Amino acid sequence: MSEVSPKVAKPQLRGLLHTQIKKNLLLTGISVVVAAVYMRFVFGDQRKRNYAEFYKNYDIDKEFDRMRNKGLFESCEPDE
Amino acid sequence: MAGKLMLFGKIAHNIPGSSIQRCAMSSYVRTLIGKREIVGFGFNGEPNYVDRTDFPLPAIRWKEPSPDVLTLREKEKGDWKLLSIEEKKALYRASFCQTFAEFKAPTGEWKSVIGLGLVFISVAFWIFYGMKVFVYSPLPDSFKKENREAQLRRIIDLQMNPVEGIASKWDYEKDDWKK
Repeated sequence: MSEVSPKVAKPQLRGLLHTQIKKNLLLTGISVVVAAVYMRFVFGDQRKRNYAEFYKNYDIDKEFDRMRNKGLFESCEPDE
Repeated sequence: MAGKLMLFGKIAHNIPGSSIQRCAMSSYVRTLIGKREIVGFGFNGEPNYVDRTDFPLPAIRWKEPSPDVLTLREKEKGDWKLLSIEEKKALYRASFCQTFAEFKAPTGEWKSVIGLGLVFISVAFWIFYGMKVFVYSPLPDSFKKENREAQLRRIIDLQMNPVEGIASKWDYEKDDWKK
């Protein structure tokens, strides 16, 4: 009918949904693994380090006195 | 339902007719399609014509039969290699309105969709401005600059979210933001 000289590769005619689902499942798996590794090893550990850093030299009584002397508490008076 | 009653009527009175399908339709619908030939069930059983990619088999032919087309139909019953390109195209256009390429061609409708959507959004912005000027009461005092600064000072003094939040950005030795 129409003139097509170069040979076109035969397209996939059957099992199209199957192929689509396999590809989608593969991409899902990869993105799940990447997200999990990032959240655990990059994000989570950074957060743990931040907390450890904060509490290493944290003196709670000093902070309490600082806030009390600014008059921020209702139940405790500031020092004279 | 009227169609089913007519069907029973046909069997009871033995009215000569071609197919059950033709009788299971009201006479009003038959007048709408004129002389067009019904060639299948269609996508919903009604004698309609729609160009659809997901159901490419309309229930009726596109054009009413003409003498030329009827002779071509007879020729179509033989070897298709004997049909010329023009005859094949004529047969196609007699049964179908557009080719796949024609009805799948882009219409540019998305441009008017986005344009009209943006127009309505702009109107919404104007309405919001009108509401702000004429309808809403004034904001409370806590929105003023001095009040918000005092609130921020209190948040820092109470050391709220000290590990990763706002107080973690404040240097308590220098009493200023961390550099």
